[in-house]
Amino acid sequence: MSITMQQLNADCLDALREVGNIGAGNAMTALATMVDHRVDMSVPQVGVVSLGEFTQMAGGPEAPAVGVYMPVTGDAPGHVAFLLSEESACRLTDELLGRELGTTTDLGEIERSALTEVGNIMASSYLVAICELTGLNLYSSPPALAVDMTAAILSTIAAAFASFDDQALTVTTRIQEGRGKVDGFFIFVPESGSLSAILRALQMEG
Amino acid sequence: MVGMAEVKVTKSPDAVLMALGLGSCVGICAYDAQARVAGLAHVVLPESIGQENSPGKFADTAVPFLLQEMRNLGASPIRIRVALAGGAQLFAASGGSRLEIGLRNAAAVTAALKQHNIAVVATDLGGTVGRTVQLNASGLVRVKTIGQGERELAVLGSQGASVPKPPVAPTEQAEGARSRILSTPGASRI
Repeated sequence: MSITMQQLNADCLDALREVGNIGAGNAMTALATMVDHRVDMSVPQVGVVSLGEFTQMAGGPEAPAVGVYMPVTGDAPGHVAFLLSEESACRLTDELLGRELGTTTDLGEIERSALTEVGNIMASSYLVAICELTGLNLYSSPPALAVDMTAAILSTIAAAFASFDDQALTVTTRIQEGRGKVDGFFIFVPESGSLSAILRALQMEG
Repeated sequence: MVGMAEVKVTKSPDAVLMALGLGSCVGICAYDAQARVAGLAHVVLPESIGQENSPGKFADTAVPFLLQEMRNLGASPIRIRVALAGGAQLFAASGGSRLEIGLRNAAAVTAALKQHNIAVVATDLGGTVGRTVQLNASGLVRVKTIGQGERELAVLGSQGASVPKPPVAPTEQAEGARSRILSTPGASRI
């Protein structure tokens, strides 16, 4: 039986928040290891948003951003994206490539490659944690990177699930590293048919 | 503001219709200069496959829906001129075909407009950059990108002055570099 977004009760939302928490926590640990810095994260926000709202979720719609997107297949298909402001992405690149902070001002091929790999590791860590928590088999696909306006990135991701849904359940976690030097969003969007699989795995649904 | 899957029309003389950050989506800017009716559709996907709940979302349903909404405000399809922007491929390959719908969107919108005999005056489609498009109540269409700033794409409804020239097919623009400006000013009936 598949459940609709409207049927989600408080317990289900709590369960999904926990999914986001554990996933993002694992991703943060991976990031912290890579940059050798402490990384903080917020309590995940779980909500059902319209397509229009989805593009407004992170930062100004026209603000330059970097997005790493990874489609999820398996028992509970969905979408994972990691979004950073362009400024944050440059700082993160500095740390990853061992440059002095402020060196990177433009995202060329090397920088994009590094960010794609970080996004890959983080998104995979996120998924692994969800797999362990739920016992579901989830598979990540190769990540794709985009550098553009925030809304353009998010709307392109939204188009991947918009064919049958006019709204999306999103689990969003804000992450901050080094007291705000790097500020980003982790977004998990399970497809509507995947909700029941996740909740069943968490024994939220008979 | 015209969000994803929305269609908005206006007759107000100081209205500005705007779609922020079009990625793979296509913005259809339509204008009837005589009736002074402007419309903007923010198309997300190429085909509705029978879905009717959200006509603005799909190219094949958004075009007739936009035309009907404009007719309701007194516009006539024969006078409506259109400019298109969007349909980019933002994500560098390997993201899977689901992210490559920009070109399919552009082609589907172009085909739907042709089917309804609507003249496409200018296009800024394909490529790899996101765009913000806006249409004001005098028919001026402006496109903004991160790399190139803001520029004028077309003035819809400046009848008679322009030389017919066919719009560039979206497929030819697939590999457009960041800096390429792809537009064909000049009215054309297709």
